[in-house]
Amino acid sequence: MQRIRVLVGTCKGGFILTSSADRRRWRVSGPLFEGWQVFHMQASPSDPDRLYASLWTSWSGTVIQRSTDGGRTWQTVSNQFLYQPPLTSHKDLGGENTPWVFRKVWHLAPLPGDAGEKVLAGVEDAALFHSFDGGARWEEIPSLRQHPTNHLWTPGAGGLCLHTILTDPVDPHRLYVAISAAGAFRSDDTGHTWRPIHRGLRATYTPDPEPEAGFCVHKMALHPARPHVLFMQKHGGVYRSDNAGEMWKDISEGLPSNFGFPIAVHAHDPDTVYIVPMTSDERRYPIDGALRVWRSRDGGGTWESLGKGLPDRHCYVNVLRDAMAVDQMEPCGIYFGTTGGQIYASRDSGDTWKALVKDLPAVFSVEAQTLP
Amino acid sequence: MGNSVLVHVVLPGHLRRLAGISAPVVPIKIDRGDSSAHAPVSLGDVLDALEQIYPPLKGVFYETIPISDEKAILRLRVYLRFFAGKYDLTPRGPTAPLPPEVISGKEPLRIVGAIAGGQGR
Repeated sequence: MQRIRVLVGTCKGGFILTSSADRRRWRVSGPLFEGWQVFHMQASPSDPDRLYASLWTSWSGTVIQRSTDGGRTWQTVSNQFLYQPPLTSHKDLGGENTPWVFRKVWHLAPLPGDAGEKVLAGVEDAALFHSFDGGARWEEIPSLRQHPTNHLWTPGAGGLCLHTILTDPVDPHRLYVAISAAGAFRSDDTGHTWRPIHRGLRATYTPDPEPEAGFCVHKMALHPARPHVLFMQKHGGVYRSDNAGEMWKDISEGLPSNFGFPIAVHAHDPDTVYIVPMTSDERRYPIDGALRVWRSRDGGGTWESLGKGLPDRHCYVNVLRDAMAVDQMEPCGIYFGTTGGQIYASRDSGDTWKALVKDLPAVFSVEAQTLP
Repeated sequence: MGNSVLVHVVLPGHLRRLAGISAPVVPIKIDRGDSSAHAPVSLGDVLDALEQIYPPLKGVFYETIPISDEKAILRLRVYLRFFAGKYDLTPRGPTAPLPPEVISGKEPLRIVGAIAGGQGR
């Protein structure tokens, strides 16, 4: 009998929501890690009971926690993230050069195989780290931070954060990362070298609309059955690439706004994509106060608004970049969390929605596990 | 107790939970080794002992700041405060000696999250 486990990171701890396969009744447990912000919780694809969590407070920095029993108990595994020399600098918000400083871990990506011991971490200030021992020791993959375009990287409002890590299930040497505000980068040699993948993107917030780097990518997603097709929600634009990022095409036409944060792909249909448009970059709330998910069933050619069960008015929350996920059930379940503390779920691919819980702290991240 | 002192430490809640400490005050024994019975005990001695006794606390008091390609320094995290009786040891850093009332166990060493550190909450 399959079960669903939803991992929720919030500004005041972590929560775990569980349900049987019918996804009708949910049990909410938490808060975990009280007093800590939880940026991301993620499960190993090799061992579903092996979970990782990235904790942070401004008082005590970052701590990585690991559970081997599905979140019942947790152990501190590490908080040492040291950049490899040589040191580098980037532009701060005022345009001054400032040295790279480790601040926090935004995103954890446990990799398949090795009993769940291999994990990638995307951090602020932007860099990629890997661990081969379940998070006990972390080592930087320096080639990304030392990329020749790094002088063009600047922090977004959330900081200079590496928030997206995508692996290619067909080509184990291929990796994608996205950084706000640097852009999207691809490696075809397991992280030894990187190249920006920005052709076709347009920036509306820099003098040059097509800079070599400096794009504020909010989130990228792919479907494992068609990993060369990428979808991107950018700061001002929704894009699709059919050739692993070699060229992007704007697919925002038909949307009420091209601004938003998360983007997710349906578990069983690589052409079905979900986003949550927000009014604009300076007004990060739903259009007319009505929370809507928008779905495309043709890979971004056309879009439809999904709102059955979502607030129709007086809704001024945001949905952050890591706060949307899908399960592997049939029909596919979609989950997203808001800065108002609601977790909404659909168990029919987005046709109808229901709040699983309404008053959590602001939600940073949502991940969904389909358990055997 | 030999040549050692017992310092009573009050940790902020998020660190007590991280370390699995339920008591509000943690007694920490600091061994002075071969030093004299009156050798000073520093704030750093207590933090080092805390990290050693409670491994989950490793790295939560200090951050590593690289200053060159070869060298990095440890700096107390800026949003932590260290109060010993009526004294604020924070500005003096880890070398600050604990005052007699903390050495004698009359007053605890209090580690406090600065009120400016509750960002995003």
